[in-house]
Formats: sequence, C-alpha cells, structure tokens
Amino acid sequence: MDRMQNSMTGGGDPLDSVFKELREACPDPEASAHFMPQMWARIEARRNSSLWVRRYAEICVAATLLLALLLTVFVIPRYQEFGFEHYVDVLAAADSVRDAAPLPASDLNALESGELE
Amino acid sequence: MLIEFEIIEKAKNGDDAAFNLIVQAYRKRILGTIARLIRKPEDVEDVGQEVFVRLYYSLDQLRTPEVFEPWLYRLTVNAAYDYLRRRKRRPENRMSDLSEHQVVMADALAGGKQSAEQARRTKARETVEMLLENVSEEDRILLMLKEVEGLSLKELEKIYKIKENALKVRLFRARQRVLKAYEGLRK
Repeated sequence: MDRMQNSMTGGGDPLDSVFKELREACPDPEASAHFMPQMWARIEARRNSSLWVRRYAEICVAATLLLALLLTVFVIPRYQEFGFEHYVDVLAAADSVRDAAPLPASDLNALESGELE
Repeated sequence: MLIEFEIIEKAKNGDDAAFNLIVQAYRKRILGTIARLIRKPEDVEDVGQEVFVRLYYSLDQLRTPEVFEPWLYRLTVNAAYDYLRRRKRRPENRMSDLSEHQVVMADALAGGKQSAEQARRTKARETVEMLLENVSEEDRILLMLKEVEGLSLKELEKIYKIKENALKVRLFRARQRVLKAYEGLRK
C-alpha cells in the first residue's frame, strides 16, 4: 500500500515530470468573445424545446381525458342497451317458454307408453 | 472556491446575473481541463458551453453550495467523456484531425519556423498522449484529473462517488501501465 501511495502522491517517479510538463504546455485557454452569448443562446434553445415538449404532453393528456369523457357519456350507455345476457340465461329463458306450452295429446300418450324415451 | 456561496444560492434560485458570475469565475479553469481531456482545441468551447448549460439546468439539484466544485467537475468530466464517446462513434476525416505536432510541422514546412518553446510544448503533449493510449478512456481521464489537474483523492471521491481505496487501486494500476509504457519508450 505504501508503494501505491508513493506512486500516486508523486514518489518521484519519472511520470511526475512528464505530467508537470504537460500542465505547463497546456495552460488554461481564454474564452472567446462569443462564449457567453452562445452559451445563453443554447440555454434559451433548450428551454424552448423543453417548453414545446411540455406543451405537446399537455395537449396529449387533455385529448386523452376528452376521449375518455366522450366514451363514458356517449358510447358506453349505448352499448349497454344491447344488454349483456349470458348464453345460459338465454337458454333458460327459451326452455321456460317451451316448457310452458302444452304437449299435444298424441305426445302425452306416447310419453305414458314409454315410446318417447 | 472561486466564488461565494451566496452567489451560488442566488443562481440556484434562478438569478441569471449570479449564474453569469459563476461562469465568468470558472470558465477558464473548466476550459483548461476540457482542453487537456479532449485534445481538440476547436471543440473546447463547445464542450465548455455544454458543461455550463448542464450546470444551469441541474443547479436546482445541488444540495449545498459546499459541494459545488466537485459537482461542476463531475459535469465537466461527463461532458468530456460524452464528447470522446461521440467522436469515437463517428470518426471524421478532417484537416483538424491532424495532431498538433503534424499541424505545427505542416506550418513549419509552409514557411514559418516554430519556436523552441512551442516545440517543447508540442513534444510534451505528444509524449503524454502516446503514454496514455495504454489505458482506457476512463482511466485516462482519472489520471489526468489526478496528475495534471491536481485534484486530491478526496475531491475525486466526491466527483466519481467511488470509495477512496477503490480509486487508489484504479489509479495505481493505470499509473503502472503508463509507467511501463514510459520505460518502453525510453529504451
């Protein structure tokens, strides 16, 4: 670990002078006169684009809510008029109508004699 | 700190004049760091502006002004890294892609003679760039921040949000690799 510490804190290895030379060779540059105006233009551009995205999102949300409201008010009640009877309910209703009708006398005789079974 | 906490607080609350003061205080230092990281003088201002635009839109997330500098360095490193990744994805063939040394040589051939000082600077840059080709882009940035920008391990810990020991190990390995390359170069 000492070796590691030494190596990183400038234990006098030749890399230290190489890095120092680079630091001297590349001083901090001065910003050009356009730096600030261009930066503010970019800030404004990003602000405008994010505003546009937000507005678009708001329009989409409003349209979705409106569509949901229309479906609730107009389409769903109309659909409910057709009813939602199950197949078994329809069958039971049909059976009850057929069962209520009197059997003809010939069928009764046949039933009693066991011919209809 | 190059600027008072009060100004940072004002900028955080949407004061554009205070934000301007921050930019003016830090831009030279940030541009210097970017220049040494990306090695493309013509793109330094572009990346620098990106750093300050990101700062403008993320300043409200800054918890306390005390951590402002590591925060700004983190944005700088991220912007430089994004730029380097973009450049790697889309390699272009432009005149400006010539190395500084090649440009200087071309200028010299074109008539003017480079000064001894300029030649020394160019050589220093070329040497470090050649040496740092032996480590990954991430380690190159880390080494540059530690060795050239002079950031402490504590500062790097705040920037990278990595434990100090992990940073030490990473730096040690990267440095060993560069040292090996340096020794190979000297032979």
